[in-house]
Amino acid sequence: MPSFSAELNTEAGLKALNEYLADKTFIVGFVPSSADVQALGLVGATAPCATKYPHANRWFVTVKAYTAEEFEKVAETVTIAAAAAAPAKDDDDVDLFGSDEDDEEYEKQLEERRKAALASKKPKEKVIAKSSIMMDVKPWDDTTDMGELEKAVRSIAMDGLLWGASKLVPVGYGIKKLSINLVVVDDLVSLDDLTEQIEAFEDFVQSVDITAFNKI
Amino acid sequence: MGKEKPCINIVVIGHVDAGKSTLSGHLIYKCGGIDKRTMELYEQQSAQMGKGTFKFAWVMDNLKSERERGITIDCSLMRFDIDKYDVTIIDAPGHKDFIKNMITGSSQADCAVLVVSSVKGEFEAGIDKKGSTREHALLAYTLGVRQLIVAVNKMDDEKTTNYSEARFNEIVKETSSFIKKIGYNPEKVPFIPLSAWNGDNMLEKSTKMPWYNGPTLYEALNSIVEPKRPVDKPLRLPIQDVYKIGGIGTVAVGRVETGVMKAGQPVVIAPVNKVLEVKSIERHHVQVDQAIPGFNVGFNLKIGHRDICRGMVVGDTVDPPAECERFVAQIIVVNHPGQIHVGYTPVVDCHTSHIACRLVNIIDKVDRRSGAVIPKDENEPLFLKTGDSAMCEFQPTKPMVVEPFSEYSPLGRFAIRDGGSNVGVGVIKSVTKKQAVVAKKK
Ligand SMILES: Nc1nc2c(ncn2[C@@H]2O[C@H](COP(=O)(O)OP(=O)(O)OP(=O)(O)O)[C@@H](O)[C@H]2O)c(=O)[nH]1
Ligand SMILES: [Mg+2]
Repeated sequence: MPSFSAELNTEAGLKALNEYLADKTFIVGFVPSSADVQALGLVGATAPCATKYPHANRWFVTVKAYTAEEFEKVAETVTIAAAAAAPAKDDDDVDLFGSDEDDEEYEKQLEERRKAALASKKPKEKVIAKSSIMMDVKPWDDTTDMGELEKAVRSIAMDGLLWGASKLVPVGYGIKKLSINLVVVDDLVSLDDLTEQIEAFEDFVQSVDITAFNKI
Repeated sequence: MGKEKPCINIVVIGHVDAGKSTLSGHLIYKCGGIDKRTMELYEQQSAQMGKGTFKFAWVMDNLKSERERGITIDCSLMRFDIDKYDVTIIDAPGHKDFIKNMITGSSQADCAVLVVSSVKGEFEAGIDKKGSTREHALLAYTLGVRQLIVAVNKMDDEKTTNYSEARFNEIVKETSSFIKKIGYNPEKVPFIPLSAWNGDNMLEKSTKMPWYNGPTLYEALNSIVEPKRPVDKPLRLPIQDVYKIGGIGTVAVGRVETGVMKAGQPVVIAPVNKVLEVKSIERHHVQVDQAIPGFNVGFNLKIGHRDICRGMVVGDTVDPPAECERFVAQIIVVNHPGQIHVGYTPVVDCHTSHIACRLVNIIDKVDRRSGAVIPKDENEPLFLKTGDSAMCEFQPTKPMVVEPFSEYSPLGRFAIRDGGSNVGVGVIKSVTKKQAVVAKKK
């Protein structure tokens, strides 16, 4: 939780602000907010010294780069801890910028803004994360019926699982393995479960290895 | 085609919508991962759709829908060719089983490409504390992927970026601190302002960013330091499968990780400590004299097929692999709901072996990137939680063969699994081997 002196135009205040901003772009969350406006007001018109307070300076320059219009838009959407509004009356060490809930609130809003931005650019259906996987299914020996093995594998049905194309690949000494493509919904299909189910066809399957794994 | 070029794997990481697919798609489109016939088909279709259909957009959509239907069985959709390398691209998914696969699978990345969006708001959201970008980057670093390229994408964005040098510099500054926290040295990392969509600084230098003098993405990929294939190390081959073939006998299959396996040479099978002769080797049904790192081969051994199994390791007699008694590893806890104390016994997935190992000692908590020890209170027993890194000692509950990461990296990295989910990852620092005498064959 950020906590630094409200006297942002003093050396001590700038030092605290600089430390606070060392790993942050904005005072709260990932977009400029009224918190930045308030802090800007407290810092004053001159940018913090770039060598002495590099982070505060970077923040100052970044925030200044936003137009008033842009600011208005985000400022409206943000509820910020009131502490900052009347900092001087409180203790020296004011918890300027609210709680974690505000952060969460911010991130939610940010998400919405991003989604809105994307929607306006190109209508995009809600994305369900999927992966494309290549799997090798290995038989017991050169006499295993690979057709039956494949049938068994494809008989497995799960929510969010789609079997794709496959081929038999020679390994050596007459042994072939089944290389099969599958598409899974990330949140629905556990590959441990799937592997276990395949390996449960003990008459056909010796082992399963995943050879490629990509986001779609 | 391109057979003599060395192959490299590149893992693409970055925030949702940063442009990873577009960037990969562009390279695949321009550098010939898609075969001629398919390409012609796409172009035809695109023409049929009439004016206004941007060809590249069409290709991107097709790549995606083809992947979604799962109708390709070779990995050509994720491959392309550059001057120096034959490149396979891995678009890191957020699936919870991906990490285990990255550790035990065949596709160890040689270089990571971090894609960030330069669009105001998008960039700030991408450099997020949670989210898979950080996790993937941290993982790549931990697993020894030391080459990194940062692609600052969407420089064409009209509303906020507009090929602005100032915006680029700002992003370089912020991203530098992000990757530094993970362990990378920003000074050694190329930052490339580009537009994956328009092609600026992808293959050709952009005329819209005259202020940038660095390499294009294509040039940066060509400058990746060629990974050393460990041919001159002692042999290590973890066994995947064992077959009993009529008229031939026992055939074992696995991938050579280090060294060379030659037909006729004596090998040691650990942890059972048997010395045997490799009678013959086959690859894709063709007999070969030797197998080098990366080759997946079958080989014939004179041993009962029940006497060897998946998880065992084949090595040479000069520096043979052996059963380990204990090993010390630096682990990172990626995801555990509670506290991990001494006594915790998760399953360790290391190469092809899958064995429960008991945590017998938390030696020190350490800083994730520097490895520096975090001072501890001698009176308080250490415990670990998500986000912690520590030097720990493990004891396998069954015979197991592992090696230090520095010597044999594929046998020295592991995933920690508990109840089907990924708890963490580890890199082995040292191994105490059982002092068994190898039963020499006369
Ligand atoms: N202006 C602009 N837009 C881009 C560029 N690259 C990608 N985009 C757009 O950004 C959006 C996301 O691109 P993707 O390539 O799907 O991003 P991704 O990182 O693969 O996204 P996920 O796979 O969902 O994480 C799409 O609408 C793209 O058209 C670029 O260089 N410039
Ligand atoms: Mg994508």
